[in-house]
Amino acid sequence: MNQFIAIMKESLWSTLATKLLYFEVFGVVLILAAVFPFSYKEQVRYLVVRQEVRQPVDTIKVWVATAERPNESIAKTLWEALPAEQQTRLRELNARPATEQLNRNPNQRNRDERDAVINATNYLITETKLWDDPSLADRIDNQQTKRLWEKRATLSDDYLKRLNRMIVQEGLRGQLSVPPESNAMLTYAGMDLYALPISGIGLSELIRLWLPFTLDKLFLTIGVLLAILVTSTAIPQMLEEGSLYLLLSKPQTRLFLLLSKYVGSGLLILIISTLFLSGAWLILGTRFNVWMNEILWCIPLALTIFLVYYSVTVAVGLMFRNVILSIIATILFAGTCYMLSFSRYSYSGLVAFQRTADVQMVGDSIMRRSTHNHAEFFDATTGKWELGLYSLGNDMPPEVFSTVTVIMPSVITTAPTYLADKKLYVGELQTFPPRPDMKRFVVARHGQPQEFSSPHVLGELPFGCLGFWSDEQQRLHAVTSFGTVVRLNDIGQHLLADAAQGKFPAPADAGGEKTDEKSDVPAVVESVSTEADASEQEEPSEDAGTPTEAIDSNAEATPAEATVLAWLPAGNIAFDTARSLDRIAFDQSRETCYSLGRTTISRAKRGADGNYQLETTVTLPWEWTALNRVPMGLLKGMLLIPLRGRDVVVFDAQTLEPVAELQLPRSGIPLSLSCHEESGLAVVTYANGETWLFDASSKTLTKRHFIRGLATSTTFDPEGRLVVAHGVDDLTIVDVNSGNVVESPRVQKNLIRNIYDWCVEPIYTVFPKPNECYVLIQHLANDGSVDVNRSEEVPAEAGLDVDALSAQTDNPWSPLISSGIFAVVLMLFNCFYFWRQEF
Amino acid sequence: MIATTNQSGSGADVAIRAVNLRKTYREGVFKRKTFQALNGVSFDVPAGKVFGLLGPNGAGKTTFVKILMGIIRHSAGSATVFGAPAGSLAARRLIGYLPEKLSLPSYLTGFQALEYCGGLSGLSGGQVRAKRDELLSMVGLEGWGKSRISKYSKGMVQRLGLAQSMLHQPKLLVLDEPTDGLDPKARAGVREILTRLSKGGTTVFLNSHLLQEVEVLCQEVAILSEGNVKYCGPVAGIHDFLQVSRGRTEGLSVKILVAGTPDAVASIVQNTKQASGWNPNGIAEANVKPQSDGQWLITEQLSDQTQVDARVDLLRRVGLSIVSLVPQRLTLEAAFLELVGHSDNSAEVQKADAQQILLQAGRR
Repeated sequence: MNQFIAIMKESLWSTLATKLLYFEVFGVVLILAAVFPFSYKEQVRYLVVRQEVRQPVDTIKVWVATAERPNESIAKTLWEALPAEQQTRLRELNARPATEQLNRNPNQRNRDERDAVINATNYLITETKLWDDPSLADRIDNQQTKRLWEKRATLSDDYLKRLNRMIVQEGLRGQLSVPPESNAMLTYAGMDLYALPISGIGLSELIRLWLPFTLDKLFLTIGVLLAILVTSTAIPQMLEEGSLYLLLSKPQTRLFLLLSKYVGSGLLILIISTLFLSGAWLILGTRFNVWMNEILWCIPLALTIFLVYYSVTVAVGLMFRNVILSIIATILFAGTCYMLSFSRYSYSGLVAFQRTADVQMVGDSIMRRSTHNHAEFFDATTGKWELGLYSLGNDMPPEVFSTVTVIMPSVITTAPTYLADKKLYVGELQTFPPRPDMKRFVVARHGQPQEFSSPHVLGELPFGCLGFWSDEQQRLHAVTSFGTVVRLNDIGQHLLADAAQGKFPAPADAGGEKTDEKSDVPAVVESVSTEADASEQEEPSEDAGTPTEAIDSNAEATPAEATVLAWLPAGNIAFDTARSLDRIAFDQSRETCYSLGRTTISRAKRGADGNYQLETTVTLPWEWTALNRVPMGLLKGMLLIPLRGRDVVVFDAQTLEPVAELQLPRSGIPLSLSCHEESGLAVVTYANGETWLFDASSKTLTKRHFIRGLATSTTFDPEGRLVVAHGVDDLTIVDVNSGNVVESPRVQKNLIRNIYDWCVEPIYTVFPKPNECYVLIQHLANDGSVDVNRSEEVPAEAGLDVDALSAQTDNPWSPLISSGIFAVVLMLFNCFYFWRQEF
Repeated sequence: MIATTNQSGSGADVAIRAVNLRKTYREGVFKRKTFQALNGVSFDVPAGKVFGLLGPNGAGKTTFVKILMGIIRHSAGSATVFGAPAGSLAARRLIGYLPEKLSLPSYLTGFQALEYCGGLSGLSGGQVRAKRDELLSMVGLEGWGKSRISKYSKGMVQRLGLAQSMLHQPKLLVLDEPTDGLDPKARAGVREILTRLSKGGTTVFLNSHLLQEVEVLCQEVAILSEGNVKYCGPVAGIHDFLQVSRGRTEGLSVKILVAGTPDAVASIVQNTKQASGWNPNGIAEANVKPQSDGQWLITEQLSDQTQVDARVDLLRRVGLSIVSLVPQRLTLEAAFLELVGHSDNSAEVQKADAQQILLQAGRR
């Protein structure tokens, strides 16, 4: 023990002798001391600010006009509460001729009006007692205002002013933007610094979001490398002749000597990191109410990362006995780690294009959509994914090219559908740059692969096409991104035209209807959509764009070549392109159509005219608001909805009432849902790699491991077997009941895949990844595995992007494990080398 | 030349015992180049004595010490320290070592360095603190304990090194050039310390180039050359050893200073005409050299004391007055030079040195 204490002390003295240590400790203390006085306080928002006054000229006009009307209104009450001089000022501004406005400098335009509105409204908010006026009670419509009004006796001054503000808001309806209830005021040592445009919760979330990244860069990278500089001299100094001979002459084993040096240096890092991180943890907890325990995980992480780099320093130090060389080698090693990660990331980007985004059965064939927007068929004889149809997405209009010259447009191929007429239909949706008028779908005929090298634009749909199906008369139907069900009438004409140019065989082969049916189809059922989504508008969401607005504009943009059959209240599912039709379900006869809105489920029936009529819409409880971007499936008269988080809800398809609420042990993001009507089974895959089997007869969920790794998409084949797409483009067919693999088609890999699989990935797997250890912090911070009660904190944006999923397939513990193994192996090598070496 | 092994003592009386010790350095990528640093070295270091290890550069002295301390492994043979295998933990517990180019961390103070070294030897902080003042005082560093080593002179560092080697009261002190860089006064101090330690029963193993110092301090020496032991035994016995090795049985050289007339001197010179005829038993003319003031120096190699007495009788008989008679013996330096064959500058040693340097550089 005395020996150990002696070496520990010497290590401490050694590092104390390095000026850099003082710099590091001083830096840590300085940062902590500088950050500690920071805090925030919730500030109730009640004052009107400039940005919240949208159209001050209109506001004054409306306000003065309302005040002059004889009937009572909130606006009139507000007007009467204003002092006379303010009323006069507003009247003057209202009487100002419009031409005077136009002649003013654009920067000065509306300034007087805006100032007058701000002064008047803020006077009402701060100086009056609108909240004490009983005449207003019956006129308040807004639910939040009502709730606050009822509690006015118990409210603080700030909240009373907030109530005043809401009354003003309601009086000048639509004229003022609605501010959040509160915002975070950043304070420093008790002094107000800056009012942040986010609430305290938002600030907490922001800190949670950025902290892993900041800790990685500031602490796990720069901090650890500085620590390496501090401790790098220890081994070469020890190996100096006079020092080494003295050391080796002492009655200690060499193993003990070297390991003690490791422990001494590691202990130093442990002390510094504990000091810094526990300080940061305490500050964030006490000052910002962010008790982020994951920060403390950085302590063992920092130690592991340090040991990886330090092992390299020691190895080079042992071999060359040179401080400078060992530091340079360590920095080069760190650079190599970064380069390897970067290379792998870049290369996986190339491979990611080949990844399966969506798989489905088309007859007996398996078809998939790759993330590179290819619609491909799997040829079992060659083991290749044969190209069916692809989208170049480069037909940008000139006006877009004039402004966007560098950024490539992002066009997503959606819903590759292989219908009974043996045609392959593929929709398109341009997500960037945004183009409201981008509305088209393409179609090609199934045949030899070379026939699909050029997609043929057959029609246009508002906001892109998300999915197709054909009815018994082989008439093509489609769903737009806003849930519009349309029948496509003029495909026949396009096919005829193509055939005339020799591109396609005669349309008679298809056996479908080829006549223009535009005249047969009745008008749009617009009223359905408006009513259905009205319930959603009432929700206290403050999103700028409401479904109603979107559908209104959609209706205006409906092209002539498609006939809208029904507006389904699917909400805005425009970004949910990967799942296409997952939010719209039909029964087998396509008589009934179900759609999943943001907070609603609707059912529509097909009438005798072939058009769908909305039957009923139910609004779901607030606790199930995680409906956003989740799939829905129809199975044995039940609607199955796996929510984000831990809940899976089952509804009766007739009553649309929930009949079962199942809960998973871990929260997750549903990726795909496949239902098999005959067997009454459904398979839900989650982004966390779990697969759950739902049995409609018992209404139970069972966790199943069909394949190793993450399943990106599943579908049932005609025999009721589950086709699972996983890995990059791998396929496995399993028997759902037994869980046995029935068939595992061997997918032939191309050169890029082979290089990736046999070179990049093995090197990456074996090589330590100290620079990626922060992924674990992110994982722990975001994943529910640490605290299952935090399922509501699953980020809304994550999960359905398949490219992002490719990164999620990596085990978050892998960088730590590989780094730990590397550090231990190199440490053992160093010990062996030191033990064997003759000096 | 036959090496003296001197391995008759029992294990308890022997501090260090080397038996046919060999060390072969291997060099190159495939370790094909070899260099024999020790070539079957055998000798004993008796316990409680001051023992010197001598040899020219490249003789294998440092290699021997490194094997002793476990810094390198021997290729063949064996070496023990008080019966424990050399280099083992048990052996190292008994040894206090002062390396030749001692380098203590310059950021430590004298006290901290002693605490560090004592701790490595298994002493607690309290045990070190109890001894450190006495030791520093013994090596002449009193008052320097709280100063950083970076402020020490080379000699002070060497003395601090000596202090740390004595910290755990070892039975064997291995000192590699302990007085290197010290001024004469400090050297005398070190000599005094070593003598005192030796009297206290500590065995001192001295590896030094300073032959005079070894001659004064050591009771026994071993002389290495090209990896072989050329001599091992008492310092006083080296003359006899050389005589034996030269193949001579008579071994007394005398210098006689006489005063007398030239005729008297001439009468004792070999083959001079005397009254009785020619003198065949006289002194060879070359051995008689005139000195100032009518004195003559006679240098002769005589076989034994009888011959010396006969010479004195002869000189007195012819009327010469004997001013002085001094028997002549070899110095250690002379013996050393003779044993190693003036080979310090020989091509072989230069080659050996170069190889040694290359090997060391290669290992770095």
